[in-house]
This record gives sequence, structure tokens and C-alpha cells, in this order.
Amino acid sequence: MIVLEIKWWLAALLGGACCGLAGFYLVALNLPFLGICLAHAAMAGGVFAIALGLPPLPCAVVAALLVAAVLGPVADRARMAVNTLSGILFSLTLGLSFLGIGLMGTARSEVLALLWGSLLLLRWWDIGALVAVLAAGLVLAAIFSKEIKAVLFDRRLAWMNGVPASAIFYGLLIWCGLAVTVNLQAVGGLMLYSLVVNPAAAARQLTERYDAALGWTVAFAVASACGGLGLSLAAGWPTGASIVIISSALFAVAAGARLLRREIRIGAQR
Amino acid sequence: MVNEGIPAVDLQDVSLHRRHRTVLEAVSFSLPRGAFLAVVGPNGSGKTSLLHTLNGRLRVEGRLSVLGVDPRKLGWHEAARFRTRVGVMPQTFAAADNAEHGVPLSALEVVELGRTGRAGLGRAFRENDREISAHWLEAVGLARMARRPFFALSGGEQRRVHLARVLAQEPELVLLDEPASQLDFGAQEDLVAMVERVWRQTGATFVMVSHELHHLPPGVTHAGLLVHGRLQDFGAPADILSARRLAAAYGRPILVTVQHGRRVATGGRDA
Repeated sequence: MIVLEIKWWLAALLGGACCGLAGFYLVALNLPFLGICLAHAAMAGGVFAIALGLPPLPCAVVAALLVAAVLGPVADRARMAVNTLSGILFSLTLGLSFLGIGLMGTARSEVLALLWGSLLLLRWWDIGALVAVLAAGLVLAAIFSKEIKAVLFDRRLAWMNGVPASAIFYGLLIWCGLAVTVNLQAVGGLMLYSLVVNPAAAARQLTERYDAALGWTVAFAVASACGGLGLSLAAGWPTGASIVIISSALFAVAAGARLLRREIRIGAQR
Repeated sequence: MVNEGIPAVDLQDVSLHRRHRTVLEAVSFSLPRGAFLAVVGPNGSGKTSLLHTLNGRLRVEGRLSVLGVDPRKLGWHEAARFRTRVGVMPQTFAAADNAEHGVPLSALEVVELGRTGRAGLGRAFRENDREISAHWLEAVGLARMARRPFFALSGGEQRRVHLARVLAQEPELVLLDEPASQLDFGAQEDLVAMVERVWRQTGATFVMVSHELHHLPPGVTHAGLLVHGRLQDFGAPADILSARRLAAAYGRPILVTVQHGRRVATGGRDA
């Protein structure tokens, strides 16, 4: 039981950090909808893998990477907003997920785990994938920190400054795709969006500094994932739903703190 | 890298066609190093496309030499290096549309972005990069706002930060796309004076496009009149920016007055 719980807490810690970093990038790029699109692409890949008797995680990774790799270049060439294309692909992947479930005839527990998240089905292999993706994200963030910052601020300006902006942008999308996918099993495709977007949005309520916003985002995401796991274990609720509740509560607290700080500042000025 | 004998910009019969529309047509001119070219013309005349041609963004036809190289013939790595030699201040910024959720950077951090290409891919900023960035932020009069969030600055201050970002790049060619547009009168005046000052200070070649004559600094050395993608006139500002030629370009009577070396155009009356 203790080993099982260690695995769950590790998944919450690593998954929270992964989603926090991905959320920071996606919100800074003004592409929060891309997070939900990637999550549903991964879910569709996983569902079809189960339907075909294949391992779900590799298939989910392939599906999310395919969407992430195609989305940037296609949006650029079609002169279409990435958010618009994300919306089209989101509905397509959600439709494919339900088609896969429909073709199976009956919803199996593995499929339900992809939709809602389940810690019971988490394997050490999933923890290894989380470690690998997070390590890759941290290494890339450290090496290319100034290029990533430039692309997040303004991709066109970054290109004009001599940065390989498209390569960095597509690389970020692909990494975000991976980060979302490896969390699919624990959080579930339908709930993952909140773990990606809420912590980044909450962090922006508290700070106007890049490093601080990045730190707060990851901290909020880890707190959401670990808090959600704790709530899930204590109350017997589904993990994904518990994480959504905690991350939404953290956002509400951060937004309240911002309003309170503004009121105090205005009061002091009077 | 700098070859004084080669013009900063040399275009011969440069044309650009896009979706059955001619954006630039047989544009030819040569600009010596250290010159300041003002390109004037009505909206949609191809001014911004001309700037994008000079920084290698657009694939045009014709003969093109910018800082001694043809940007169309450069490989991936060389093209990135070329772009570090050309500083660009666009008219609009994507970041401005994402101020609420965009990247929270300070004024100094935005200036440092100009050093990103120069510092090298995957290499951290050195002390020198930070000193140069701080120097240019001070040069545009915003040293005291270095730590202030960029999006908390006024429109005029943001433009000055972007000018500092371009200059921190230490470019040999600076391209300015309507830098003073959408600013109030005071901010416009500050920016025009600043552009002229940094041009003289850096010795770089400047190309500035505008449809407002009073946005052009008095020290402009060359002027071009771009109409419907054609460079109708090119030469000394006193000749090109005359009431007669501007009237022909805009298709209406124009009165040009010169005050303190700067030209102001107003609608004239039919003779």
C-alpha cells in the first residue's frame, strides 16, 4: 500500500510540474485552447489503442505529437490562428474518442481512466515517462531560456532578432503535447485542461515578473495535483475532479488576493 | 564584416507579386552606408513590404543586396546571422494584443531580447549583453523604468523600449516602420528627436517608412516616394518631398512647409 501511495504522490508531483511548465508556455503564447486540444488528441489515441489491443500510452503520445507537430506549420501556412485550428482539431479528436468508445460497445475501465483519470491503473512505466518528459522540459528550458523567452514575448520579433523562432515554437508545442499526454492516465483527458491553464492564470494574478510567474505556475500546478490527490484519497472522489476543484480554488484565491492588493493600494493612495 | 565600399542597400528591378497583385514593381535604388532614407507614400503603397524585403522576410524577384549579401541566397544559419545585423522596429507588435496574459517582462528584459540572436543559440547572456542593453535603455531616457513591467508603460514609452531593443542588437541597418504612429504629440516629438540622435550616434544606416512628413527627422539624407508599389522618385529630400511631387503621388493638392528643418504637409487648395 505504501509503495502504491509513493507512486501516486510521485505522479502528482511530477505531473503537476510538467503541466505547470506546459501551461506557462501555452498561456504566454495566448494558446490556452491548445492544451485541451492536445489532451483530447492524446485521449483519442489512447482510446483507439485500447480498442485495437495496443498499449495506450505510446499511441496517445503519437496522437498528441502528431497534432502538436502538424498544428504549428499548418496554421502558419494556412494563415489561420492556431486557436482556430485547435478548435477544429479539438472537436475532431473528441469525436474520434467517442467513436472509439462506441465501436468498443462497452466502456472499459481503461477507457474511463483516460476520460476521468485513475491512479489505480498507474504503472511505474508511467512514472518513468513523467520523469523523462519533465527532465527533457527542464533541460531544454535551461539551455534555450532566452530564445524561449523571446518567442513567448513575440515570435515575429524573435525571428527578426536572429532567433530560429519557428523551430523553438514548434519545439514548445511538441513538448507541451508530450507533457499533456503523460498526465492523461492520472488526471484524465477531460480534466487535464484545468491543470494546464488554471495554475498559469493564477500565477499571473500575483506577479508581473517572468521568473516569479514561472515559479508560481509550477508551484500552483504541483499544489493542485498533490492537493487533488490528497482530497481524492481523503474523500474517495475521482482524482481528476479533485484536481480541478483544487486548481480552481487556487485561482479564485489568487484572483481575490490581487483584488485585495489593488483595493489596499487605492486606499493607501487616498 | 562591414565593407565601406559596398552600399548598405542596393536594389535593382525588385518586384513582388502576391495573389495576382503587384506589391512592389521594379524598385531600384542604392543607399550608401550611414545614410538615412525616408520612404514616404500613401497607405497600401508597399512601404512595409519594402522593409520586409530588406530584412529577408519576403521572396522578391530582381537583384537584391543588403549589407553586401543577398538574403534570399543564405542558408538557415547564415540567414539567422544576417538578421542580427538588421534591426527592425515593426509598426505593430503581437505582444501588444496579449498584454493581459502575455509574457511578464520588465522594460530591461525586453531590451535584452534584442541581444538574443547576437549572444548565440543556447548561450546565456554575458555581462556585456546586459551592459549594452542597459546602455540603450538609458539612451532612450528610460533607465529609471528598467525594472517596471513592460505592459505597465505608456504607448510612447513602449516604443522607446522597442527602439532600445533594436539598438541593443547593434545593427548595421535599422528599419523603422512608422515608429511614431498612434502616439500623442509629445511622444511623437520625443521619438523623432531620439531617432535622429541615435542615427548620428551609431553611424548605422537607417530606413524609415512613414506617411506623415512631420515624423521624419530633419537630418534625413535620402527620400523615396513609393506609390502603388513603384518607387516614383528617389533622391535628396528637398527635391523628393516637394509639394508638386507629393501632390502627384497622393492625387490631391498638398502644401508643404518647412519648420526647423522638418517638413509638414497639409491639404492645399486647387489652383
